[in-house]
Amino acid sequence: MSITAGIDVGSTYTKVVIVNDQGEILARELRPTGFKLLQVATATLESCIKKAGLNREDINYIIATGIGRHQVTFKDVHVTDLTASARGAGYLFPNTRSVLDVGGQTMKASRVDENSKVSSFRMNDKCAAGTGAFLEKTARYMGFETEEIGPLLSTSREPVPISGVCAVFAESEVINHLSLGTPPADIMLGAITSLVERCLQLLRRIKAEPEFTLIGGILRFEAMAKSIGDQVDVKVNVPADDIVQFVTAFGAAILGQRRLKKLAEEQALEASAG
Amino acid sequence: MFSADDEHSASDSIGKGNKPDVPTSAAKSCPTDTPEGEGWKQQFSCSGDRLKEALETYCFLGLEVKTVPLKEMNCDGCTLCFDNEADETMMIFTRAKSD
Repeated sequence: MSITAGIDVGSTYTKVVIVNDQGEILARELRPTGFKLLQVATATLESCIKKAGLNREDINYIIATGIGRHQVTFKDVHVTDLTASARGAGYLFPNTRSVLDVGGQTMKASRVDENSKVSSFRMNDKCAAGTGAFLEKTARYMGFETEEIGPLLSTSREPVPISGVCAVFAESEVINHLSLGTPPADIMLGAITSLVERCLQLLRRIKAEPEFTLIGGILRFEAMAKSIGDQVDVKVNVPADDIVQFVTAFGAAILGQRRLKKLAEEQALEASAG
Repeated sequence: MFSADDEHSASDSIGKGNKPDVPTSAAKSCPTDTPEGEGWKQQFSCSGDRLKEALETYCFLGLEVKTVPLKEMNCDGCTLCFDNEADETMMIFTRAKSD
């Protein structure tokens, strides 16, 4: 049985997924990326291997992806995160034709073909308003941590308008709403609504086609995925539980399986020719 | 929901080295005048590694790429996020290759 690992070194978190040749996830792990990318990639992989009950020698192939992939010196190959995301989304939902990935620092939308190859893509402009950082800043202004956003949202009744134009200016908007007695949950939902509008703009720009698959750390907030789903009249897929955050690493691991298979076929061909 | 009008094919972008396999020359060789027109389509603003990543991806998609420093453009939007960045923020433009 061949076992592969996908390592997604993202700007906020580093994720590792280990899969077998049936595409089954044996273990997954994530850690904050920080500044020592190689160390965190190594530590996250080791922890994931341990979780899977394996040894380092059991891993037959490693594919690195994400913005920090070039720092992973022990990888076999690296792929762009768009390639890995498309592969992961397509494996989980074969009818995926558009992928929306909302992470801590970026928002990316891509169209993919029936073979899960990227055919076009677009990223958010370099502005924190279009990313998870916007939500985190909004939460922090109100004294909440990132992991408290989900529970906070579950108590909201009605979103208040947040301009969403600029994360820097959002602070004054938040303070204004708080001074008017608006519940923090409703302000948070307003920020989500603003972010969702940016998601929809991005999907329009790439002329997204169904089915949509939503991935990335920010999609772990159910309100976000639900709001997008409510505003489009096409099938929207969201990977279950925390898998939504691991799709890119999963896609890299699946690509690893594909590469191993191809290498084995090439070796068999050479052996038969020799 | 949204109609498609510009299909491009791309192969998986697999690299083996530890250095970014990015055509950084693409960012420098492009003219900085007339951002739009002649088939150029404005994409998004970006800097540093993400810029390299985006250029790499668009090249894999078979598109011609040019970049324009954001400060040189008539930018209506807020630039607070990147006014003091070490890396210059560029606006990316793409168009289908004419060959």
